[in-house]
Amino acid sequence: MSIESREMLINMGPQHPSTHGVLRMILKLNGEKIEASEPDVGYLHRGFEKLAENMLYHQFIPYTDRLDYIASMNNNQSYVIAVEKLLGIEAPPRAQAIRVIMSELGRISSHLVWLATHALDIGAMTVFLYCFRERETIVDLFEETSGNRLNYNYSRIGGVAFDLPEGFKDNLRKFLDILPEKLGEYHRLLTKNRIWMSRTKGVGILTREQAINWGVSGPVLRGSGVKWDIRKAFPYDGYENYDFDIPTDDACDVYGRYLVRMEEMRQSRRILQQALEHLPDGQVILEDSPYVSPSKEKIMTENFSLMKHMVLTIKGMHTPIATLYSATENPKGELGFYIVADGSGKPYKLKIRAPSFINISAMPTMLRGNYLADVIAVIGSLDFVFGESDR
Amino acid sequence: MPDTGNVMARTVEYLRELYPSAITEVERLRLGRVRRDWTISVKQFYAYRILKALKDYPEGNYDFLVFATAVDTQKNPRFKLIYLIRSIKMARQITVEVPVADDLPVESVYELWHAADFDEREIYDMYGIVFNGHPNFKRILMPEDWEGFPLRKDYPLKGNQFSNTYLDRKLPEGQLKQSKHVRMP
Repeated sequence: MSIESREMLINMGPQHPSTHGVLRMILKLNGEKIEASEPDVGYLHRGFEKLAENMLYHQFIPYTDRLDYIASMNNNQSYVIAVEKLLGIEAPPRAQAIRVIMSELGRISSHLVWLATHALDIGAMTVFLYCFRERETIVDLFEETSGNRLNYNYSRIGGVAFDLPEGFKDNLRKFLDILPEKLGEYHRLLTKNRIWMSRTKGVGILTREQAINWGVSGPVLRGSGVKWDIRKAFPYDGYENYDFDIPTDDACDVYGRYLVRMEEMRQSRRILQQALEHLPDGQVILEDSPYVSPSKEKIMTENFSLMKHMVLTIKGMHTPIATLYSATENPKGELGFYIVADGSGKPYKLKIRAPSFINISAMPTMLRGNYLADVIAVIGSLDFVFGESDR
Repeated sequence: MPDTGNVMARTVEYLRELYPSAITEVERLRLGRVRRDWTISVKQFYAYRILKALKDYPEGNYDFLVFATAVDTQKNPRFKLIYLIRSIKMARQITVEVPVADDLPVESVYELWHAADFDEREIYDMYGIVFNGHPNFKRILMPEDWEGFPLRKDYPLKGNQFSNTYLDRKLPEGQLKQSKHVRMP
C-alpha cells in the first residue's frame, strides 16, 4: 500500500488567539512544512487616512492613540512632532523631556506586553503574569499623568497636555530601581531555557539584505544586524543629548529579535535615568504661539485668548503650504507621518507609515521552509498590532 | 548634519547625467530647524529607471524604501506617486514624486524593493492606480468586492454604502464594478 501526500492549503485566523488581533494567514503546507504563505490584513481597517483629511490637525491626536494601542504615548508624540515640524515650532525643553520619558516608558510597556504574549504563545505561562505585573506600574504612572490607562491623548501640538503630577519622579525612580532585577528574572526564565531556545533559534530567518529590501524597521531590522535607529539617525525631541546604545544581533532569527528587545528595555531605562536627572523646569506647552490654544485661566479671563481659542477650535490653524515626512522610533518600528498641507486647517493628505504593516509583508520570506508551529513564534517575534497595520 | 546639501546635490547631479530630461523639478524643504529634505519630480516615463539608478547609486545605495503612496491632486495629471527612499549607509533620504495620469498603468518597483509589495496594493486599493509587474496584485485593506476607491477626493463621505442606487448617484464614472444596467435597482 502506498500513501499519497499532497500539498494542503489551510487558513489560520483571523480569530486565532495567537495572531495578536485579526491576522489571516493562508498557508500552503507540505506535511508540516510551509511551502508558501500569504498574510491577509485589513480586518481592522477604519479609514484613518480618510478621517484625517476631514478633520483639524489637533482633532486627529486622539485617533493616533488607536494606531498602536499598546504604545499610545509614542504615537501621540510621533504625530505631534510631525505637525510641529510642519508649523516650524518646537516644544519647550521641559515638554520635550517629558515626552521622552513617556515614550521610553511606553517602549518598556510595549516590550513587556510583547514578551508576555510571545512567551505565552510558545508555552511559558509564568512570564506572562510577571510581565503584566511590571506593566501595571507603568500604566499607573501613565494614569497619574494623563488620567487614562490605555489611550492617553497626552501630547499636544507645541508641548504636552499637563505637567507631571506630584510624586511622579519618586514613583518612576522606584520603578527604575526594580526594573533590572525583574529583567534578570525574565532572562533567568527564558534566555538559557532549553525549550525556549529550541523553539526560537534558527526559526524565521530574515537575512540582513532581505530585511533592508523588505523595508522592515525597529527591533526586527536590528535583529537582522542592521544598526539603524531613528533616534540616532534623525534625532527628535532632544534624543541627541541622551547617551544610549543601539542593540543589534546577527542571528537574524526569532531568538535574535528576542535578545534585541530585551536589551532595548535596558537602554530605555538608561535614557529614563538621564531624563529624570536633567529634567528642565519651565513651561510644558508653548505660550504665545499662534498655533497653540492659551491656558484655561487665560481663556476665562482675557477676551483675545477666548477668541484665539475659538478660532483654533473651530477653524483650525493656517499651516504653511508644504509637504513633509517625519518619523519616530516606536517600539514596533518606524512610525512616520507624511503630511501634504495646503494651508487650510485640515491636512490635504496624511499618510501613516505603519511599521507593523510593512513588517507583516516580510512574513512569507521568514516562514518559507519552517514548520507550522513556528508561525506562532514568528508572529510573536514580529510584534505587530493591527490597529496600526490596518489603520 | 553638516554636508546634507552636498550629498543630495551630488545624488541629483548623478541622476541628471544619466537621464538629462527626466527630472523636472528639485525642491529643498526647509521648515524651522528641520533637516533639509530633498524632493525630485520625475516624468513617469523615466520613473522606474530613476528609481533603479538611485537604488544602485554608487556612493551609498538607496536600498531602503520607507513608503510609497499617492496623492489625489485634483489637477491634470490627476495623481502623484510618492516614493520615499533612504540610504541606510549615508543616513540620507530623498522623496521621488511621479505625476501619473488616471488610467495609465505604472511599472511596479517590487523587484527593486520588496517593501513596495503592500504599499502598491494599498495605493491601488485607495486610489485605483494599477501597477504592472506586481506578483500579487489585488486589494489589501478594503474588502475584495468593494466598489470605488476611498481616498480619492471625489469619493462620497456620507450615505448608505450598501445601496446600489446611492452608489450609482454618488460614485464618479468608471469606479463602478458592475455596469448600471446589470445591477438591481
